[in-house]
Amino acid sequence: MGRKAEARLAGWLLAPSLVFVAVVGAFPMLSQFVLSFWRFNLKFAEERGFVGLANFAGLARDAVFWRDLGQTAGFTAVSVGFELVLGLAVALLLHGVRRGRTAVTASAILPWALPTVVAATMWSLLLNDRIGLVNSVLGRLGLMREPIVWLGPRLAMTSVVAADVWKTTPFVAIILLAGLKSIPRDYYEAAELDGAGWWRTFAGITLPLLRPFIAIAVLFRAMDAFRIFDLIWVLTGGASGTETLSIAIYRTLFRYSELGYGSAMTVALFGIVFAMSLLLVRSMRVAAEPR
Amino acid sequence: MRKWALPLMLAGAAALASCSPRGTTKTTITFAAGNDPSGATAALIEEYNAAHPDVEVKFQAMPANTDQQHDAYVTYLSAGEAGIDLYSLDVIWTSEFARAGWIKPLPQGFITPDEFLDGPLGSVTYKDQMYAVPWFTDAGVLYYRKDLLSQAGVDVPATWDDFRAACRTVAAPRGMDGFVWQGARYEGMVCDFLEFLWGTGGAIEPERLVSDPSAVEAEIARAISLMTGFLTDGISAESVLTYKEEDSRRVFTEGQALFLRNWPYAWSMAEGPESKVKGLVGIAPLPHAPGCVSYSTIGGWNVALSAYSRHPEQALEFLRFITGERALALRAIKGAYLPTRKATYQDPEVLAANPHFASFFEVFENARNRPQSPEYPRASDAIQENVHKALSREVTPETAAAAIVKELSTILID
Repeated sequence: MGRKAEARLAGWLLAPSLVFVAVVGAFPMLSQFVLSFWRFNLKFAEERGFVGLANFAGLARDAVFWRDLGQTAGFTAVSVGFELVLGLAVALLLHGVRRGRTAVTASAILPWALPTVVAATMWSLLLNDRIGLVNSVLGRLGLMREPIVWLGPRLAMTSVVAADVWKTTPFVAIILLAGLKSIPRDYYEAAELDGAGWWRTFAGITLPLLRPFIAIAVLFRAMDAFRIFDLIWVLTGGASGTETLSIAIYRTLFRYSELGYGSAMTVALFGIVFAMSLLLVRSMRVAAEPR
Repeated sequence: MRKWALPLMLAGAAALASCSPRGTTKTTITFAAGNDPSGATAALIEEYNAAHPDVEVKFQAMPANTDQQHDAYVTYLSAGEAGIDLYSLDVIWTSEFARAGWIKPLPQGFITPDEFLDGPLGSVTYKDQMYAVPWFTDAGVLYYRKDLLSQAGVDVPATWDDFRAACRTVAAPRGMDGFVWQGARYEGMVCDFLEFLWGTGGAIEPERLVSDPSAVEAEIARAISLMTGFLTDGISAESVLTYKEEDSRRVFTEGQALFLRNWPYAWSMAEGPESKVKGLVGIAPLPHAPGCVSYSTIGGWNVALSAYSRHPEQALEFLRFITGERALALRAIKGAYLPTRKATYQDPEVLAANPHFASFFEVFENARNRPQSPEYPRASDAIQENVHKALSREVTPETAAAAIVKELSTILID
């Protein structure tokens, strides 16, 4: 087969998946993009009209949008930070396990395998101030006088972050564990011969070689955390400073039937997540380059 | 086992096919509503189909979650879905669906208004036209521990002052909560808030938001202060800020609270086998401020005709049946759905099945609707957000009230 013929065959073989991506991915995205330039509320369909950048100008002035953006960014930074540190610790532990590693790994990944809504419902029961296990344990240990209202105004964000960290740390751990396994043993043996201590080995070998894996884990987690909806929806419904952009978008698109403005919010969220991923991918490339 | 599957399926399909008489052109009417686990609706539809050989009514069970139903209906209707003829709509959706042109006004004189309770009837009109028929209703009531009140020699409180005194003298010494209600940031909290507002002489009416915004602001601030007062005085625990209906109901039926604000459904839970307060509970209208009247917020559902129905006449005929006296009575008896027709509350069979309906009737006569507007969801969110902030003590009741009035006057006035 000639080169040309091969290329043509490749084209044909790729065509179905390209069409599929176009239909389920590109088309909805494109129509959302187009809608973001329109005033369009389903309830007031006759008032539909092209408004150019007016929706985006509205977003720039929308205090609730900026508040939610700040809350989303804060949630992402804190939860991904914790997940990274804890995930690394878990990965190192799992890497050190000699016997029954499969069983230990499988049980460690369990929270990640649970559907988010199930996990969130479970947490809302655990954190319930009267019938929840958390308060009941704290009470029995004598660590708590008044029941702690975990999902109330003061602790809502902390509880939401804790639930997210619990749920997604395994994901980070598994990626980093794969990274740890890819580091050749010789390096460690050489370091040992040179008399390097644990910290010196960790900082000099493990961490630098793990960097591309850390970047991948952060990329995936940050993208996910920025779009978080279900966990917070179940735990607080967005109350007490936990409303994220996805919840605001749901409200605008579905509760208010405000397709134009809601699409502008979606496009903005898309832009932010896209920019964030570009930055991370770039830092990943820098990390992968030999020094 | 597996080799039997295909023949079995074929036989089943053939049996099904032979059931429907060939040649007749049956009109199919589809009725979408929340699932009715009591089976009353299914029984009524079966009865209707048997009596109408030319029509086949199909029931499309929707998710029990109200928001999910709303989203599904909006998706169907904005796409012009003709496969559903009748929709059961929450009382707060009428204006929205009518404004969008998704439901059709009912023919003149389709119902006799006098036969229905005033409250539910107030939720079926948009711009002076009737768009739906009230189907079943709901209204907030006060549940109290009659054993504890009578032991202490305290009357059922009619005013908020007496109510607070009862909480102090009866609940506080026992270390139990005085009052549990719905304070989470969601639709249910708006219902509670409006009851506190109406009961202290306030109201949110679009006209008054224009003509006298400062008076409305003062009224709202007073209602919010009443709510924050429950928290600061230790009558309600901070956890009510996370409570929806079931959270508060659980505390009450566990015997940990003196008073509960909830919907009528909580009655059967309080009298149920798992309740620790069985036989110890009374129902009353919510307290009010001196010189004011107690009002309940109306919940419940109406039935409306889709603007895209291909068989509006047959659909209307079924609508008349499913909202008729017989249907309401059967649904009350089997499923404890509260009827919207006054006469059903006199029905001895209904009262035999639900003796407590008689005491609810009193509450329902003084029930009011949430603001009727196509933009109600925005109005509700403005109330939820600001009241919840005040309850969390992030802002004062006055600041929250000012924000609510400001937002409502742009939302509710077109």
